[in-house]
Amino acid sequence: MNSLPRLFIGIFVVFLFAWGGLVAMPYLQLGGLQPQADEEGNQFPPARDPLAEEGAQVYAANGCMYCHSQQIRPEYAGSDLGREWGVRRTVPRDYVNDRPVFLGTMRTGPDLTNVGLRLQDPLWHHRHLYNPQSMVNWSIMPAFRFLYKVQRVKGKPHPDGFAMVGDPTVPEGHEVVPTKEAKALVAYLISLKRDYALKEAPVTPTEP
Amino acid sequence: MSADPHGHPPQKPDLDYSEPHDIGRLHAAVMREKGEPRDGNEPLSLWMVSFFGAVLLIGGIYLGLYSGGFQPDSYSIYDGSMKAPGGGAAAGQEIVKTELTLVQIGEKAYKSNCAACHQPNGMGVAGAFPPLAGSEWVTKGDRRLAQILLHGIAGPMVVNGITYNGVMQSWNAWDDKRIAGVITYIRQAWGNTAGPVAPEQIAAARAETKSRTTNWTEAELRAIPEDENMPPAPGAAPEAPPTGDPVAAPAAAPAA
Amino acid sequence: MSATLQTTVAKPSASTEAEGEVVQRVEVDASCRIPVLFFFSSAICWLLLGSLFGFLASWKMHNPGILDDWSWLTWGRVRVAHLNMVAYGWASQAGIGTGLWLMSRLCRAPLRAPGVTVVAGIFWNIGVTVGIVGILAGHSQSIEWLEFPAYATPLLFVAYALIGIWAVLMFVNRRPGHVYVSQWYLLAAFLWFPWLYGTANVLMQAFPLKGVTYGAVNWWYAHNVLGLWFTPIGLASAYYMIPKVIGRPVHSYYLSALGFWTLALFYSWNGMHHLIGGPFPIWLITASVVASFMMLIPVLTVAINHHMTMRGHFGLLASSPTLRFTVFGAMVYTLVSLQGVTMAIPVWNKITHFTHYTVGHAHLGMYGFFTMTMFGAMYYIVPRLVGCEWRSPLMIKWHFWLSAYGIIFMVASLSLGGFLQGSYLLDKDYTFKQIVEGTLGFLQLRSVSGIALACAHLVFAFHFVLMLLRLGRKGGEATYFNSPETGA
Repeated sequence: MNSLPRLFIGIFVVFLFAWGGLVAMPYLQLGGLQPQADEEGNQFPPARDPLAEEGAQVYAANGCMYCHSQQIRPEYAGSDLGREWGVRRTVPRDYVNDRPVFLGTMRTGPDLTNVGLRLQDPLWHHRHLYNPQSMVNWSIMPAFRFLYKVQRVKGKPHPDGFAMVGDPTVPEGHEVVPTKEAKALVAYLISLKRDYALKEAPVTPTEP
Repeated sequence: MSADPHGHPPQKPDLDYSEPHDIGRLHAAVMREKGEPRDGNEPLSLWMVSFFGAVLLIGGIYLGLYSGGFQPDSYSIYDGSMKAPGGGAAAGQEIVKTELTLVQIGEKAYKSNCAACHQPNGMGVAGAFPPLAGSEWVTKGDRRLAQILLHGIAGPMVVNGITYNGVMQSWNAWDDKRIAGVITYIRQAWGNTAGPVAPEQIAAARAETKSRTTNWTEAELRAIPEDENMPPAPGAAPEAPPTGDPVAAPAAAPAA
Repeated sequence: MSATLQTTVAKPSASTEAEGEVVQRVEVDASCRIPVLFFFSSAICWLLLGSLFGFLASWKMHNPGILDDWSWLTWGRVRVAHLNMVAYGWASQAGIGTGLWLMSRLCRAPLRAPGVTVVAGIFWNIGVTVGIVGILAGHSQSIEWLEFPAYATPLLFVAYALIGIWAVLMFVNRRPGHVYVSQWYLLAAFLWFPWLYGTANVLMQAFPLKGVTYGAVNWWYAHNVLGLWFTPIGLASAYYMIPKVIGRPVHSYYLSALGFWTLALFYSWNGMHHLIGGPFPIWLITASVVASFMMLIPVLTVAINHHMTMRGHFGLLASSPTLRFTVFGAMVYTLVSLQGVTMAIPVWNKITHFTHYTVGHAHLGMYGFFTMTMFGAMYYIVPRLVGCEWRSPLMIKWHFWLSAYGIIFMVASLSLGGFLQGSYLLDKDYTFKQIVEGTLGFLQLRSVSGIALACAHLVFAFHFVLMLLRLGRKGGEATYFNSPETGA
């Protein structure tokens, strides 16, 4: 193999072959996917509201994906359904509104595909983000205090503020107030649910 | 320059790179190098070719079996030519699970959904989420408890003498069996010793308040007597005759 | 003078080859000197920073309260910065420096206008720096291996374009004659990388890609950066250093050719094995699983080729640093690739997916194979560029053993911990609390191994700086671990 043209063609063709299979073909097959609409015009997956979309950016900026996945595998591929992390496996259509997708490759923390079904209370999320160990005392998740402001309660408490009793970073008489980023992130987390059925992904009845 | 310790004759000084064109004085490292690498001519051995052929064959068979016909909407390895094991389950369907008791169902659901706030030990979080262990809301009548599961509760609430002010989401989306399971579980966990509830009772409770769209407030719930239980399921042993339905009025917008 | 160099190997040594050949090599070395030393120096700086950030990320996993006040140091950014520093700062530049020198030597063509590649290298470093700062400041794209914000990637691409063009031009201008296997790998790597990097970035930034196709492009890129950029450079170096140091030809041209083309054909299809069980058409996943299984062919081919070349000469591992680092790397290449084949098989993947086991595998490949091979190359190349020999065999020994034990320990702790984590995850009756608590000890052990690796790098960096300052040993013999039997 001493000739440059032959080497070049070989190098190019094998590369193109794999690109065709792993990039072009998936795009041809899945690029046109749209949300599924029902008779009343509701979209599945539903579009995220703007605050939740901003929250996805906060999720990206802080590397949440590197501990938390967002995909439910089928029964034969893992225990995701057994752990009740979802009511069905996820399919490509579930992610049509996501850019980028946070499929994730690590489960240092639990899967978050359906965290909005399990934990709908924004306050739980704010407390958890401010000090994860306060809600889950064995957690190794880092604290995101920088998404919050600790301020003295002046007269009336802030409408979004909350108390953190016994937390060394919140002195007596102070409250924790989420920044816009924190609210966006929590809105995003609460929006994470895939409990609707799709024609290619039926929801089998729960339990037993 | 003196001879080096291994007895080689004196070397000329190394190439001085301040004079890059002076290649007459050669670099000692390059000097001692062996020739540039060359290819040998050993042929491929037969066993290697056979082994690689076997690898290709196995790979090809797997590719043929598990490609789902190269369809864009075949997501399961069981689509296409293979059927799910256990006989009878159609493509894409989940495998039927074994029967669990009501308490087991409830425990599983509790651990996955409720423990985040009420904690695995039922003790809740001080200042945030009320305990379930030893709580009168859990161990006394089951009628209020069922309604809490069905519609959630928001605003200040006193549990064991302590006021909590938060929001519990409604678990309306769960089926009757699961709600009955969770209630049955928490009523006998962590030292609680209250009786079970049946899915049919939950169905009836759900029907009673199906027009409610908002969370309960404590005030509204206190309208239900503390010790009141739901009517027994049909066929169950008769209990004390049920009182009049205190929640007859359709849910109005709750007071702030 | 040259006739007095003693060798005991019956191969033509420099003393009997044409003076022209030696002069040519010196010309080549002189032309490469500033660019290659620049790339090596930059690479080593990023290696030190990358080791620091890696250690910090590891420590934060079992001690999440450490340094958690500042958003710039939150784990999700530190871990991402670590990966990009070692991938684009250390590994890519070590590879570029080694690749340019190897290409120049094997093509017998000096690197013309080397200043251009130095300028390219400066831009590359600026790009990486801007990208890292961007990640720490919160602009990570959260696409694995492509986290640099969009304002950093064009710098890297332009810098690379210059480097790639220069490398390919050297191949075009090669002296006529047989093209050696390392040259195929290098030509291919220098061509594949810009296609990969450019395509991935264009598709993800400019093209309206949405949904899971993002995932497909992401892992097509990320796995190919390992298999079509780093692996070929590592193999090119191994194919050069092993026969060069021992003075024997590579075992078989046919194995070399088979290994090269099957690597190109199969490796490029592997990407989706990172997403087994994920939301994709099953044919896509199966194609990658099959391609991963087929990797048995190139990997065993290369292993046999290297082993048969080394046979009878394993004794030289006791003396030659280049050979020791390179052969360690080549053996780990076989091991990590076989491990990878098993991990792609769905039955095993059920256990290891989403666990620390995968992280262990990644470090075994990028450090145990690629980084150790690059160390071997640097130990060979640097004396030829600075005109003196490595000063201290003791420092090289410390470097080797700290690195070797460090990576073995790291991979062992992550593999065991990851296997445990995966087994627990697979059993739905294990709570997440049990899983986290069960893996903590292994994460702590990993931090300890990180200390060993960081120390190894400090020793190496210090030794390298001595060489840059021409404080190495003057004199004709290479630096060996023990007293040598043969020259190198």
